[in-house]
Amino acid sequence: MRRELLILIAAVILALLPRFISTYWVGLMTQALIFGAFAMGLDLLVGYTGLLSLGHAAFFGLAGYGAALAITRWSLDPWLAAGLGIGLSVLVALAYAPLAVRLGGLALLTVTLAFGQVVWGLATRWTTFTGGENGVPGVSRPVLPISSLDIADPIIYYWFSLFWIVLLVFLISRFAHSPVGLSLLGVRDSETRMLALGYNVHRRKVTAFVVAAAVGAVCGILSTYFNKFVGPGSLDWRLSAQMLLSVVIGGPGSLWGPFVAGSGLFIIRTQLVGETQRWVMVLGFLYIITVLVLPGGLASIPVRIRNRRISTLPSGTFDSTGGEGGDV
Amino acid sequence: MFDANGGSILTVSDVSVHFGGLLALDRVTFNVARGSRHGILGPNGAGKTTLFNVITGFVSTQAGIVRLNRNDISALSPHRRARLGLVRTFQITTLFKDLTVLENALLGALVRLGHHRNALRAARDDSQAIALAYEQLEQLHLDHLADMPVQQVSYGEQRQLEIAVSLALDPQVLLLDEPTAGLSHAETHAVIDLIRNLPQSLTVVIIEHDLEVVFQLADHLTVLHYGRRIADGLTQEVREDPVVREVYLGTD
Ligand SMILES: Nc1ncnc2c1ncn2[C@@H]1O[C@H](COP(=O)(O)OP(=O)(O)OP(=O)(O)O)[C@@H](O)[C@H]1O
Ligand SMILES: [Mg+2]
Repeated sequence: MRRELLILIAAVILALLPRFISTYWVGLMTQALIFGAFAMGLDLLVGYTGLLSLGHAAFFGLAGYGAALAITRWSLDPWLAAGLGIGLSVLVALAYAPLAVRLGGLALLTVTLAFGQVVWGLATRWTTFTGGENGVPGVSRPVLPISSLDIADPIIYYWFSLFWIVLLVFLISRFAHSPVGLSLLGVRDSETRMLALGYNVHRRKVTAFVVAAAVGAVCGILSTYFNKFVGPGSLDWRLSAQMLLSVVIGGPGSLWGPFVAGSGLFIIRTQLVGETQRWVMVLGFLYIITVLVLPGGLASIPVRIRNRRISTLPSGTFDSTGGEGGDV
Repeated sequence: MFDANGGSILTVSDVSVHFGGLLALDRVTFNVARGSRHGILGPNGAGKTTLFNVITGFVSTQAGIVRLNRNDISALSPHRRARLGLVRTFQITTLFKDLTVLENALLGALVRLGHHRNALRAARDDSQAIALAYEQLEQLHLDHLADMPVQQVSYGEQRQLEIAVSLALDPQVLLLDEPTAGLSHAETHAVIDLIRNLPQSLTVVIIEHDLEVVFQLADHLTVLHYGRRIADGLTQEVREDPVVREVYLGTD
């Protein structure tokens, strides 16, 4: 209940935000929230289940490409196209996850990276269908059921995205705290114990992988419709890396930390001039700082503050069991 | 013992396991009677843990058959066997270290209730599962630790928690791998009492080094030595067996 209330309060504040910021920033915030949700979904795989992926941009991009191509080539309705794109992404994840999650650690990292590169290669090489490096422009946004709301308006699109993101965050939070979510933490801690308790560990890992992919797919759709365009950038391994680092910097397993970091990193990126090369450096730098100075990520800051306040109290008889993560 | 598997809940027939050139189990056969307290004895490296691994599916048999209630389960994966009621603890404590004591028991209780596939309702709001997990902790006098992360409870309490977590599944056969290893005298007695108080309907197989503990708990004994079964029978009989006295009791 408390969690859901917090989500609602955050949603209301974010809904009011466009009143106070410029149109330029409304656009930035739209995208920032999308990447926040993407990182939050990935946290279910990375923070909860303890499996690293450097390839989840593939599911973000696949959904975007699926929808964009369906709209531009077959003039499908954008609502249907969105469903198609997400469906495509989830199907590919369902096919790939059972192979990938048999591996762990570095092997999984490289195998997901390789997979992402294959999808990226397909999008850039199959020029006649995917538009190659030029991507797919001219993607139309869905028509809203309420005719007075014009989705072309940046603020309306912001609210449109916010609606889906709040729904996503709500579902992710629900999922994370459900028995299945708890079982993912169990898999992270001890696969052996989970097997001995009768859990199908392999299937749990597949579930986490696919759920993270599905969240990425929804975000990919929102991003594609925002840009009215999809290009190979949405499949780039650097996007995967940015999301993975968002989880680490935000605090794996905390959900809200990766959301904040995912949004924050996107904003930082847009404020750097001459992007690309420098961005990877900045990202690496932020990562190193986190690992050295703030090992639990952003999510550990409240815990640290609380502990500091406690340690300055006269009696030291407080037992701080308030954990790293676990709570949204 | 000799009439095939009359009252047996678990039978191990001609099981062999090689690790490279090492024969860890050499055509081992024995039956566990329903409701019995069955001890497995043997010096270090005798193959006791390997036997548990074969029974629970963590190591696959290269030869031989494991049966539960007469059904061949040799090809089933560990989690399938656990769901059939074959639940074990580990020689080296195996728990969810970052979770609380209650959450550890809860993961067992959820499986027992069939709620473990629920993906949208908060586990914390599942009062039925929480009650079951609590009950299990209470039974082992661990309920006061419920909200502590496992990392912060003592080794002795962790050993007991491992049994509590296993019991939360309501097993048919509970396999305990050296449950008292590394425990103090008092803690050992607590665990012995705990095992004594388990319901009679539950079959317990227990690997134990401490002869005093085994003789107190077990009604049946199987003795392994270098992967071979060298004795098997009622505890009184096996105790007096000259081969066992020479090979096992002599070396201890
Ligand atoms: N996974 C494995 N790979 C290789 N060798 C193994 C493996 N597991 C066990 N062994 C070897 O098999 C033999 C039997 O080991 P096991 O652990 O079953 O003995 P144990 O009777 O449980 O001994 P202890 O009393 O020390 O626990 C030992 O020599 C051990 O080194
Ligand atoms: Mg052993």
